[in-house]
Amino acid sequence: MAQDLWQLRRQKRMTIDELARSAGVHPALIKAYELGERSIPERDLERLANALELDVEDIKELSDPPPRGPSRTTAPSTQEEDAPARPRYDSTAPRYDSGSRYESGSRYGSDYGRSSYGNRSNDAPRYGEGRSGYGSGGEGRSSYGNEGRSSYGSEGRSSYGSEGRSSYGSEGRSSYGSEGRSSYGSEGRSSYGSEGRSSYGSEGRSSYGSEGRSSYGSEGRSSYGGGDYNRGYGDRSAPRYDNDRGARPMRPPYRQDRPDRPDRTDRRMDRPPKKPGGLKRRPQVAPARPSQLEHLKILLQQLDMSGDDLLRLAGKPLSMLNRKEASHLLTTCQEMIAERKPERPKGKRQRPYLPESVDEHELVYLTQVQLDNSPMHLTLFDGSTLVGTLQGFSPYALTLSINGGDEVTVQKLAIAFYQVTPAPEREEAAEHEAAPEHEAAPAATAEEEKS
Amino acid sequence: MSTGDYLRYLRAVKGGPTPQDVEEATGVKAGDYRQMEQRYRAMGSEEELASLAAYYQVPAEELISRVPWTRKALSAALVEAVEQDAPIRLELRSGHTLTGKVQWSDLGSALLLQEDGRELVVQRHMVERWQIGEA
Repeated sequence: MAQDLWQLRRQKRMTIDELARSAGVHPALIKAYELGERSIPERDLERLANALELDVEDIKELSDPPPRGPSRTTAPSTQEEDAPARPRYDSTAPRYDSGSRYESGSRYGSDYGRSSYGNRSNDAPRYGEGRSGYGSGGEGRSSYGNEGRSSYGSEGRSSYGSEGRSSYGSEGRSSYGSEGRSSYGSEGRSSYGSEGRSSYGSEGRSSYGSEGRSSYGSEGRSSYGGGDYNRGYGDRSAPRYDNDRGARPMRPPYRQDRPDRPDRTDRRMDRPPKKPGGLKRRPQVAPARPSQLEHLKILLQQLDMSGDDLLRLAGKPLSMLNRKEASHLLTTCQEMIAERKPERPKGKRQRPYLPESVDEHELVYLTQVQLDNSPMHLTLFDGSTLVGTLQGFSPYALTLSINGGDEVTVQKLAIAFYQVTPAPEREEAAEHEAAPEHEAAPAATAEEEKS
Repeated sequence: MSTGDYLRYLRAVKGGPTPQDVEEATGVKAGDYRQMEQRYRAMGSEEELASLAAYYQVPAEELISRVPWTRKALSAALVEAVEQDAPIRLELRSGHTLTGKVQWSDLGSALLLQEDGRELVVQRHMVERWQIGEA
């Protein structure tokens, strides 16, 4: 029948570290598997089974977390009476629950914080009472309500995944929540979150919040379950257990609201192994681009520079320049050309006048026509004509006075061409206008005579 | 008359749809039609011109044949005529044919000095074909 991973590991008397090494699985992952926070993927299951010399079927894919000691209803209460005075936590302060920062680094935060070790039971002591919760206060001797060496329900040396001395808060004196050397499934010294001296809420020197020396993974050295992986709690700064904490907003429970993310450890392990070969080589500068060389030649021509001048300037022939040197030389040449060129007067038009971009010729012409009041003959797109004097114009239209009275505006788009009656003709026309009276009379006379 | 001028004329005749309307109706890429009307150089592929000709209900050849006769080409011819001091022959859309020496030319018009000494201002958008050196 399949068993929990932690059970099997203990049966084999292996530490998490050892199992991690032999299976090639990161210890943090193993911890997660043991606590039932992750189900074991098939790949890791095989590895772990091999390391434990078991069949895959023997390991439960999703472990139940290991037990955490006897009921809290019995343990701590008796010890509180014997415990020396020590700073008390305000009972109104929040417990070390999920609001604490432990939760961010590990699941222990959430487990221990929120629930475990008596917090679930109504009469369990709180951290604010007496020395500690968790049945500590045993002055180093006990843990979890036990005396002396035992710990966590165990006797002295055994227990929770340890070898010999340590235990789940063990090694005689410490406990899970006691004086200091205890550890959580470690070998003697390492501890569940601390190194040596502290442990999870214990007496005197350290504790889960007491006296500030260390705590649950402080001092940067602790290891979560022993060994050397410090990144669990160890890298984090010690939590603050001040009373002001009650005023702070509580964080959401660890991982409850977080979306699942791929474990970095997995990704790291999926990476192909690094190639041996050492340091990256610094890339060499590429030779100059052909376009750079062409540009340089043009600039050198503009500067009237010979090959010798170039050699003096660049220090080497063009063909031997690299990209960076060519770029530098280009900049130098451009600066030299800019120095040679006289500055253009400001405000003067830089672009050439192009017939299709100028409309001033017609404007000047029409202005003159308007001033002369010369009659204009417009021929429109349909062949019709219009005669009048120019009264006004715009880029798109002309306004004529027809017969000295009506004004007509003609769009230029409708005009094919126009002609201005020249001044002499105009004079002749004026003369012609005056003459008809004289000419008409004789003509009429002549007609009359004929008739 | 260049293709652009002719397209503008056709659009006016059709009742003045916007360039966007024309583009939507003909499938010409957005913004291209306006360019075809306004740019001085040749614009538009034959397919686009054919679809535009169908839209305006004119023979496609009417549009395609105008492609080489751009406003820019007319400018070049007018400048050349001035430089050569040669008369230029202009065929207008109205059916007139005018000949004279170019006195000046600009964005919208050109002044021709005719043989009889009369000045004539020709609107460039009416010019369909031209020839230099033809008296």
